[in-house]
Amino acid sequence: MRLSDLLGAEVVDRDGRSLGRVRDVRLVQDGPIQGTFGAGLRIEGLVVGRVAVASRLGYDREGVEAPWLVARIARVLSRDSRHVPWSDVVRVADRRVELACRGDELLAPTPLRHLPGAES
Amino acid sequence: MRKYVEVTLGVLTAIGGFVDIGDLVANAAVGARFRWSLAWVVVVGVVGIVLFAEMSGRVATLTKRATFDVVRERLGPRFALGNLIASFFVTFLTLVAEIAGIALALQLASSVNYLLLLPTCGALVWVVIWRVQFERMERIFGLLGLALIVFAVAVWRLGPDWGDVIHQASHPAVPHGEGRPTYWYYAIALFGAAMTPYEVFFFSSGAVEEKWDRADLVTSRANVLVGFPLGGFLSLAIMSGTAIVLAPRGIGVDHLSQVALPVAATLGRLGLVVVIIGFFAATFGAALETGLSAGYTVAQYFGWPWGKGTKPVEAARFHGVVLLSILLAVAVGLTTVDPIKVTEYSIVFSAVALPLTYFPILVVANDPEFMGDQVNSRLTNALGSVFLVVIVVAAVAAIPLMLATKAGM
Repeated sequence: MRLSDLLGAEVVDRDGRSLGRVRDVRLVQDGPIQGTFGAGLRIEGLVVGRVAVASRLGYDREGVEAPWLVARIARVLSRDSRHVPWSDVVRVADRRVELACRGDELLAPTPLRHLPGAES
Repeated sequence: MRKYVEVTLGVLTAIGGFVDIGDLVANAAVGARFRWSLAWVVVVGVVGIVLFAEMSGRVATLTKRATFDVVRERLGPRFALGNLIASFFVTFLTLVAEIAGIALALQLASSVNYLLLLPTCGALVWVVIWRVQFERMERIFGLLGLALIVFAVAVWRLGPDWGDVIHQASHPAVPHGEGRPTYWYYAIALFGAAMTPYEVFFFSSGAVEEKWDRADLVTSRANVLVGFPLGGFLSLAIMSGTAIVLAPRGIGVDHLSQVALPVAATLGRLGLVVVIIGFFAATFGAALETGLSAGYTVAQYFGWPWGKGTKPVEAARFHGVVLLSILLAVAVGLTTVDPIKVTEYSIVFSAVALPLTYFPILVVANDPEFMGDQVNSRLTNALGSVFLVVIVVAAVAAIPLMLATKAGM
């Protein structure tokens, strides 16, 4: 699978309701060693939302809070964005990602810095 | 000592390079019609360009990436394509105006019709871009542009009632016989002239071309913080000249020669010679900057190798865009379109395109992943946010005001 298969794909939950599109893919580098590349990458989860602009501008990351006006608008626009653990993904086909859970069971994305194993 | 000379030279270059055909025409036209009642816009515009040029220079220095590169990443390829088309169009229109401006300056000196001179001017611009080393190119035309100081000398010789000037400038009011929409239309034109987007395309790309690093940030700040305000001072001198000489006689500005009139009237033939040199340097320098910027924006969007520092074989597409833009600009100029009108349209459309350029710069200048400890200060962000609002309002209002006032008629 390529990253571009996922980015921008539509995401639907168990009941077939759309949650928006894949805005970001979170990877963890803890796989087996792949030649000179180092440890292989594994998909930890997806960031899903209806509006792309906030994550595009970088406001979904910790520590990016300025200028206040822009950060504020970005936060409002991305208030419906959710984190989907990869284990909840049932099927990826034809630019569509189907989930095993319901949309309202998902949580807002955790800032990257707070994820286990993240460098501080 | 060498460092000191470097900084001084840089600042002088920035002063001389600040004024271009847009500033010449807008300030002179506004002075003749509105006297000093729009002087405040020049001050606002200068603060704005200082703010965003410094940001773009800092971003380019630390990330080694010029403005349009950043714009594309932050807005995504599709949105940034719209941005590219708009920015390129505005930069191209400015290029047409600058090349025509060189020809008009030479017409003043030689009385040869500017249309005959246009092709040669275009060719000269291309040769300089192709052959002359980046820094030398900047220095020569920036320093020659200092000839425009003659406007300040002329104003000083004219000796206006300074109390009255300061009163008019600090108590702006719409003059009798002018409508409110016209007043604001010219305010936006003046603002667009001071903040033209190509200035940051060029400034940031120049930072990458000259391989600036952290140590150069001081030089960059000095250029912007000292050079641009002094450039704005030249703009105000041009405005004052026409406000004193043309406004009381009801003469408008629809030719470059009228911009020079206040100097010619006070300082005679010698003054006129100096002014023409200033016009030539200002328009030629800006033609180089806009010609290069046309190439910079396109190449940075598509991710092609770019720059004068890159071997021409490797940056063939970049140089191709520059050459084609210059050829096309000459062709447009030869259609006998009124160069002054082209200039006026170019600055108003610049105002429309401002948010497209300045918004992404403001965002990236705050990104610690790119900028490390050099992210914007609180003050810069507060000012930047205020300007963002001003820029958006100006951009939205520009076209309706243009239609409502029939482009300031």
